Amino acid sequence: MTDKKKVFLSPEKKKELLHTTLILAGILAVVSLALSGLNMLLRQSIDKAEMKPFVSAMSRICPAESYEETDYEHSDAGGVYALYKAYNGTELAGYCVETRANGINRDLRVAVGIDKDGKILKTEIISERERQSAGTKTTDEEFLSQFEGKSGEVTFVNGKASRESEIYDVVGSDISSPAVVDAVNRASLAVGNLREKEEKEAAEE
Amino acid sequence: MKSFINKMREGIISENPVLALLLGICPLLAASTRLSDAVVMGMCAIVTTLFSALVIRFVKKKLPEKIKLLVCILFAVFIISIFELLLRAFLLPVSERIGMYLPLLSVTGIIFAKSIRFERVKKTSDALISALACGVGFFAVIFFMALVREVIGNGTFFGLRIFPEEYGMLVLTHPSGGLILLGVVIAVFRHFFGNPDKKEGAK
Repeated sequence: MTDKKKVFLSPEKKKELLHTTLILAGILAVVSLALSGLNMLLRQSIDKAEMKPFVSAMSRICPAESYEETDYEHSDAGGVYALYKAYNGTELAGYCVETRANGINRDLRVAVGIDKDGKILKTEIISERERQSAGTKTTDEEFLSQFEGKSGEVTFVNGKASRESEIYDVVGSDISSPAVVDAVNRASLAVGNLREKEEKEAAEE
Repeated sequence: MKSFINKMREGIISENPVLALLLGICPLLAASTRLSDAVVMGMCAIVTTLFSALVIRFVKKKLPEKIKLLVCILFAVFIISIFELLLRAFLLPVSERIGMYLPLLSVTGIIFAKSIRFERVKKTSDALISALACGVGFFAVIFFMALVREVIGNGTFFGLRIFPEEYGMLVLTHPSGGLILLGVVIAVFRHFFGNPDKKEGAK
């Protein structure tokens, strides 16, 4: 058995410790309150700024007269951040989807336009922070135009694409290119799920 | 006026936080690939050092010795967080590029080392001038680094293309290139203005 020595703090020391803790807690509370207040004030502007690149890309990836946000549940979306329906008058023209995938430095934000039959109309990279060599070249039209007209899941190949559903790496980036393919697949899947859900609902009615 | 110029010169040249004291190198390297990012980071450094000098002067006699520096760092984080929120709301592309390196600025050695220094200075005005000079010193270095890295490395000036991308010295836009450039800048600086470590030893 070892004897444990109990350490007692003198009343002065206790008082000092309490005083210091209270000061720090008070300052921390004031700073936190001020920051959360500012965050609440700027929340709308931040959300608007974050959506701006996607909103401006919608008219390019799926041109239409009006767009309507769907109630696609983000918790089930797996990387899908926004899903809009595009309308020409009252007729459905297609879908605009924003998906994100892991790039080299941070998330790649990809906007995908899909027509009402599930075929990809156009793909755009709306935000990237890849390395300034191969990674940034994923924004090249030569790479992105490969997605046009494809539907369902596409696969990434390093060499030349031999099948209709294959996307080949024109830019020599092992991380960024598969990330874009992954993001486009998520968009197609999200639209597929939404169409399936709507068809079911229509059949039930 | 003369003392103001002398103090500014001292802060920018002989006590430059980056070139003489080798502080704040990580955010400097991360935010010096583009001039727009460098300007934002430099402005943040100026405001944060000024604010932390003001706070440390204000709390000098009111707070226990143990927590003075903690409070100062806390206020530096507060200022940087305000900057971060404002950037996300009004300059999102810059905020996305600078990313985590802006919050990192609040805990770099610049704030630690300089806060201790500001506390020891007798007059508040002297502490503020010293803080301003420190921030301007950081701004000058990050601006120069970004100028070289963006123009020679990427062929652009504030995003405007000067020459085709393929003629740019791409290595300068990478972290390794930034580190090599910083080494060259420090060597040139020390050749002309002397080595602060040797001066310290002589004293």
